[in-house]
Amino acid sequence: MSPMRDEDFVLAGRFVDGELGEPERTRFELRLSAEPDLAQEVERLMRTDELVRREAERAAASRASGTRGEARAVDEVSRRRSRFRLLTALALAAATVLAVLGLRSLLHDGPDRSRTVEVALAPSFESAREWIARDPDLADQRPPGLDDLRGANEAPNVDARAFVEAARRVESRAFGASQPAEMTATFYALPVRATEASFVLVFAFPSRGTPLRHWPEGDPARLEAARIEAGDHVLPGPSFRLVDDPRGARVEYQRGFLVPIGAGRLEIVVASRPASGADLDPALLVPGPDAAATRARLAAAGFDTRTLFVREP
Amino acid sequence: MEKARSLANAWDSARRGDAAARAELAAVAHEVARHELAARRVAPADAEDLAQEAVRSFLSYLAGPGEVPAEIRAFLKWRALGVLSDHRKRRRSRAMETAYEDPPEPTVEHPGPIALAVAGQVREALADCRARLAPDARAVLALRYEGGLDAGGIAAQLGVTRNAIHVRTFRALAALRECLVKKGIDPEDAP
Repeated sequence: MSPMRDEDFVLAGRFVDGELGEPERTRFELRLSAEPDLAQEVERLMRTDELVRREAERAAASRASGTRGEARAVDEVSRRRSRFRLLTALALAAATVLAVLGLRSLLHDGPDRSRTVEVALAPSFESAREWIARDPDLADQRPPGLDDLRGANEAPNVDARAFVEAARRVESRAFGASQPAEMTATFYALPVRATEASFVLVFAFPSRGTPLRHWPEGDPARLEAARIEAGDHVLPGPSFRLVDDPRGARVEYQRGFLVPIGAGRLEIVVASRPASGADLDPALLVPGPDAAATRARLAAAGFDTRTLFVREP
Repeated sequence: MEKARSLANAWDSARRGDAAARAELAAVAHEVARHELAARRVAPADAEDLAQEAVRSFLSYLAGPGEVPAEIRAFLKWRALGVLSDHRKRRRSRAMETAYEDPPEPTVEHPGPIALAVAGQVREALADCRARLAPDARAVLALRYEGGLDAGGIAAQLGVTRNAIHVRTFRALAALRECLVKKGIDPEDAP
């Protein structure tokens, strides 16, 4: 086996850390598929990295759990006492859900519910260049970092910070007068405007396939991520963000939510309610069997819902 | 060999517009991605999304003029792992953007006594091997894993280039792996 060169260490490290732009990553993937020695080294690096990261996360979770252990012991006593009350509450909740299902046509996206969150639907793209090309104000702009993403050789012609601000203005324009409730795209994003701190949940129901939770992300999901503060946000994140590295300020592109292949038409249920009330019940993070049942369950828990559609191209 | 040849044929046909060949390659890409993601213990809720992203990204490459990979299955594997690396990076950067009070509760699992004992041995071996690393390697790993910094952040902390950090990290992990293997632990099989 020939020893690896420092350049390959760098490429391998950047690949594992998700730092390679698309063309560079593809070139490296082609090399990995043709150079078994290099592939073996990178495989080993990834596996060892995963092991160390897993252990570090486990240790951090264990430390956090230790600090909360005492509080949990106290909680356990009251939890046992409240089990009977919980069963009663569940029975009542089930009855409520049935009642709400019956009244679905009245409650579904009803305009009379007071909303703390306004939601728009925006297309997102595989590549940053496609995203930029869709907007006339940004179409000719090439911020630093964009070359990393697409492998172009054109010199940057706009400051990274100015570009990110301009891109955010474009994203906030999604709240204009004519908000589409349906579009065709392979990725989508949700610009969200909150008038107060709120919990936001996003579920996606493909015409064909299993219901998905898109926000908060992850399994198990981080409940805290469901809470957004007052102001403008984009879920799953702003399409462009500023990154400072030794080369200077650069932009980094983040794609939106994926429309699964074969999904057909994705029915997206965005649910929100003020965060000032009760804590978020983790059971609400599991999507129901279909959009209607999920909307009903969320409405019973005090959530306002909005339904949007994204068709697979 | 036969399979490799048939994948290469499918690639040629797909590029000539054969929809069935394209669908066949997409199915193989999906299967390879699911296999690799499962081997990496990707959460089931994320695995299908990522597999589909890998397929979409592969089909996008197939549609372009890029060279035919020497080993198509190997290329599909690395494409899936590239998608996974990007996903992990996005996840890490979002975690830093979101301020939350308490870390999430650890997942409750009920491994058997043997699995617990093995996990304990791995933990001890890893701690011992990390302690044996050179001080600069230990520092890089501590900033990366316990400090949650990316290569740029570590480079800024230590006053060196980002590339130097990648080289140091790779070498530190290689040394760590060698130490673990000497103790009879293969990171690929570790729980």
